[in-house]
Amino acid sequence: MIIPIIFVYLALVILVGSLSHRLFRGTGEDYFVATRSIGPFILLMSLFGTNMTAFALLGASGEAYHEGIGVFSLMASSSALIIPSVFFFVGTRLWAIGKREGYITQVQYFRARWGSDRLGLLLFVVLVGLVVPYLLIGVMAGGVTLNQVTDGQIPEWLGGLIICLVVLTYVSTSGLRATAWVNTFQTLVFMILGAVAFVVITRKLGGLSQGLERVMETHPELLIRGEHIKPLQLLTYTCIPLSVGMFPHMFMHWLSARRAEAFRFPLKVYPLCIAAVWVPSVLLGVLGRVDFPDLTVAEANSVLVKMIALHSPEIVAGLLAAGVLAAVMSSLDSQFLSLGSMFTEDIVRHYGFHDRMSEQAQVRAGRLFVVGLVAVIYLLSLVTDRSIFKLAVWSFTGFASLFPVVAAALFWKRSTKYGACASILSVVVLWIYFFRLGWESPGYTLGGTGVMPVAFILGVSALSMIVVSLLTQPPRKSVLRKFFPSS
Amino acid sequence: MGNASIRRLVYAALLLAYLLHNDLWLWNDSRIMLGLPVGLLYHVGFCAAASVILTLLIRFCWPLPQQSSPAAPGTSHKDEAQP
Repeated sequence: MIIPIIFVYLALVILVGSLSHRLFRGTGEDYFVATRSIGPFILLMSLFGTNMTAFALLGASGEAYHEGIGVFSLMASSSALIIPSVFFFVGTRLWAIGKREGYITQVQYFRARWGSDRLGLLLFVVLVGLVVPYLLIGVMAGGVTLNQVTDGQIPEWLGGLIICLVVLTYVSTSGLRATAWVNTFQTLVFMILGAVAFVVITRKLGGLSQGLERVMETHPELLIRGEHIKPLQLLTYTCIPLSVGMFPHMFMHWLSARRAEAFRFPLKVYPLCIAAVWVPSVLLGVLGRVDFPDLTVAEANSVLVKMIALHSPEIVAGLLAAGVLAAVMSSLDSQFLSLGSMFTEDIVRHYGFHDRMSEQAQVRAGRLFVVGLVAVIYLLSLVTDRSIFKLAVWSFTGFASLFPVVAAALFWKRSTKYGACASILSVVVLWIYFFRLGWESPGYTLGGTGVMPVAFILGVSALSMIVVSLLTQPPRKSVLRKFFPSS
Repeated sequence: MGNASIRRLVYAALLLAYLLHNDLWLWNDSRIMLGLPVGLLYHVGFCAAASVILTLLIRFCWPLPQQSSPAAPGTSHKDEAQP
């Protein structure tokens, strides 16, 4: 039953993607940013779906299984405030600049903002370096999940391959419009199916109150934060959601908005969407501790799958598998496309054709890069060790630590290319340093105080930007007039 | 109250919300309220409050000039520059 549901779901995904192709205009701008024509609802679903990975469904329950309800405050409610705030302060402004100047990628903006090709190239390398492991984790997590949900009937290599092929089919044909449409469909699927799984399981347990009473009797520590989370960890973890300010795929979705007002609905509803997805995941993880008391950290990631197998009919397990696939693919597609647009626009078009490249050639190159990237990432996923999952939080740390770059570009006229370079380089050096420490001891915080490394790296990055900018020559007035026209 | 004052109030509410995210007073409180552990219920309420603050930000502090009508597709600077 599970496997037919999965294949019906995948067929629906491809169908939605192919429907969007009817609107495809064959231009580079249409392929990469859907000719900036996306309305409020699809924008919300794209932004939310892209940000919610399989972690929100499976990983959150696994974390809550061990750490309790505090996972919600640590990872979800902080994002509910910070992420839409970044959309408000950063996303809307970048949308306006991108529309006015015709930008498609972040690098195009930063290169022009500080008038430096080298800065653009440095940023390109750093952004690609941070996205690739993130993609790899997505493909591998998809394979692992399919394997678990089907009880081993679909091997991991095949699960990863299926996901890659489906994403490739709709991304390579219609670009961002297909990605946005499919994301809308997939986001609705994983939100609805998550809620269905929650209702079915809690009813079987005799209601949520009864389930929580049993947790209170057996594992009361899961209903408080206690020693699971340190107060400074809660405070400094709020730096992590700043990563959305520098995600290339988020930038791409921002630029796709039809007009600035299209941001309003997503901004208001985003926090509620986060609660709708995370509350059931966290609660099911906590409730799972009663039925499966002795799972290891790795096993706990499938506690949701185990709960469904125990408490609900097989069809719900099939639907959950579809929901997890939805969460995985709605992130992968945007990431693949954003890297395709960066290679096409920032390298091939900028250096190879000096910005003279026909629309058809841009689309061709974009498709070629997406196909190549999917193939490379899939092959890498076959030979990469599962310990790479530990990289996930570090990928977010890197992007979040680069936040001063976009903040300075938008809000600080006196910032210079040298300041930006210093900021980026400080992130690279400190990221490598802390990554080595964190790899050896997962859950590493500075001196065991609870202070997340991201807070320290972010501080140094901001300081580097300020000090070096002030020590170097101010930017030209013509550049400032272009990016700060009101002044 | 002038627009500038309202804007300052909304920004202050945003800052206050950020501070109130650190609910140290509920750290070890295991009561169940409205069917949820109180530490979780607080943060669900926090999400709702975040939505209200974002609504106020949009209403009073919108950073861009209002657009009267949707941009016609394909009329961005880049498209206009195409031969």
